Amino acid sequence: MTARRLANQEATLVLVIIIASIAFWLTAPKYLGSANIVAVLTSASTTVVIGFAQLTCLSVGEMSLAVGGIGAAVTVLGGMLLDQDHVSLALVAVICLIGGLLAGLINGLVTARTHLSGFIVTLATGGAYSGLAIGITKSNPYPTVPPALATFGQGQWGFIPYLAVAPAVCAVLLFIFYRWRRTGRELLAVGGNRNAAALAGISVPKATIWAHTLSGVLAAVAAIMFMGVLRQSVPTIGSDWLVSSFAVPIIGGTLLAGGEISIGGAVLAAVLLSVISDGLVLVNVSQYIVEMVEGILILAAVLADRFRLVVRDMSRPARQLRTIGKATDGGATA
Amino acid sequence: MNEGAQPAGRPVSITSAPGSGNSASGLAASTPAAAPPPPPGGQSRAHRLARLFSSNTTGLILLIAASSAVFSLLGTGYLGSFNLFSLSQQVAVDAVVGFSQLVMLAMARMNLAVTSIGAGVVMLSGTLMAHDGVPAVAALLAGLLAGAAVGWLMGWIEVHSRLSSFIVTLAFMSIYAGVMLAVTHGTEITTLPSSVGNFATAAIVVPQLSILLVVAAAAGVVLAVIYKLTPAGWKMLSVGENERAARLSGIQVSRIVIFGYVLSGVLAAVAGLMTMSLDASAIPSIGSTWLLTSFIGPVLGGAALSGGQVSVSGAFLGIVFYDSISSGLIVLHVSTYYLGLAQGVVLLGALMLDQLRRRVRLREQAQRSSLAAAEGGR
Repeated sequence: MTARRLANQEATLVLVIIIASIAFWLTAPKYLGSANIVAVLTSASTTVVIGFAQLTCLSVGEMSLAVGGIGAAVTVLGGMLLDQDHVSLALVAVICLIGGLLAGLINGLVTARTHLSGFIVTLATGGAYSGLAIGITKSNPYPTVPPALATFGQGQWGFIPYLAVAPAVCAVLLFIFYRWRRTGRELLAVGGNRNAAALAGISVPKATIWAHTLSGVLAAVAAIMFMGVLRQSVPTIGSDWLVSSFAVPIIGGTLLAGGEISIGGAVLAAVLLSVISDGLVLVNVSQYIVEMVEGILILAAVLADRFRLVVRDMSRPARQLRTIGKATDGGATA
Repeated sequence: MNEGAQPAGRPVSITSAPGSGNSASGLAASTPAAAPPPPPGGQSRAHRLARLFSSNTTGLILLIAASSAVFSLLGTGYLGSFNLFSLSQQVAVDAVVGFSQLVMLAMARMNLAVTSIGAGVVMLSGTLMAHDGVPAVAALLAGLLAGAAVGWLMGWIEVHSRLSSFIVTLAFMSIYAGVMLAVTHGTEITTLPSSVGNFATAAIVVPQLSILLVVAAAAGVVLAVIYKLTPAGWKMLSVGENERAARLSGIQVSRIVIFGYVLSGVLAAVAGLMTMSLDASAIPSIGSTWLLTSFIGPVLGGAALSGGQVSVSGAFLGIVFYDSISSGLIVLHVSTYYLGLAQGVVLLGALMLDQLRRRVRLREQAQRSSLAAAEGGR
């Protein structure tokens, strides 16, 4: 049932991406030019990693409002280290990932220990992380990055930007983690039904900590990618990640209530978001409308999901209907 | 978890502490198996002290007093009338922002769109005043109506789609912001009638208090009246406490939820218009920190994110405490760039303190519930 729902979601996304692309191509032929395709894929690459950072939290039924904050703090950490001449890029990248991991770990520990909702904890820590980034730098960017990082951010093979390697690796690792690793399955079990998982002997605090820590690492990956794309370390990065971090997994079919994730769906959702915002700019629609698109797409995606359920429910016996309702209705209490 | 303890604990505690039905000796009476209760007099004094600190209001007043003392000793000008006046302006705006969230938290919902609503209303009202020659009062009213309308739309969608408030308001956060920016192109309006800007600079009673506080107080009183005296108030709270039970007991949940959304939208609009007066211009980027601020007041004031509980005065005091910290840091010449960090740390610290306090209260409640079996610990 789950697999079918997600397959539906993914098929719909592919269809919408194709239709949107054709529409944009007809209005503005340079839409399918190689420069534009690279631009779309670049923006999709960063967006999908931001989305993954939220997806890991959603998988256990948590949410993180600190994805952007961690991104900002890691960016500043990276910028500070790159400012010293003698630190190698690889070392900086590793330290950044560890920094993200620690920031996520703090979120996880506080959430698990205090039994507060992840929402309010990460609202606070996210504010603190981004405040720290702004405080240290007084909002000024570190203006340079090493050429290797800039190449990573802006180079390409044909249509494919180098940057796309990062989301590809993340997607494969996440897929393996959630499909075949015991911990990954435990995360999903906790997300699906916290009490049942606890009764089955799964540690809910451990799953919570894992989810937030993974989220921190992924936010750090996104931060490093942006340093390459922008060729500088901007401390205000991440201030606009909030909506897209939720938009990507949710449009992709991941449940807000937890327990059901779609990694492929998240990738497609990020592509769709990038296609539409890039296309709208290309056909000279006000760039501000783009801001709306994410919101409308989130609503459209969840409403479509609801609608599909309703339609399917109508052709099923009442007893099954109730179980389906229960499985998906968790989303009604965030 | 106290379900099991209740039947056993109840008869014991009733016999051991006769005639003391409520809180004071509940603590003494309720550990029947473990240890014999200590003498009631000392117990109740310790208990009263514990209660004093576990109450949000007293705790916040003490915190405010302590932080003000520290800031006025360490820095100069904290208690100066200029600083207090601007503090009171800030408190007034942030309190209303908090109220807007409080209404949603009471219903176990949240509103992530407070910022977008505030900014949208400001730009609408500002445009009407400055470009369309609409009288200021009419333009303000139009702003309030717009706040109600956008709140209603979100509520209607939530109720009819049965999606979570989180996802609906998250979507509308970017939809409203996008519409506003597309219409205004992000340009601010500085040519408002002078009466708008002058309003926020007026003081009441003493020169340290801004007239904006009157607006905030009025909003607070209206909310308090709604929650304490009107059916709509307790209906919102019971929806927050247990939506199924509320529905089963005949409350029209959809209608009351939409009402809450409208109220939240209007309050966000009020906060926006207050900011417009404070800035003496309509700025599309107002309220960029409102999301965090909106939760700080209610949460410090003891509202549960799980709904069913509100404290209007607590939310107000929470904001006073929070803003006095920001203002104190400025007096101490801490760079304003660090205010975001301070914001996050204060909220986190308050949350953890609150959690401790809640644990104390839970224990207390569990003990009381062994007296009155009807009262289950939450």
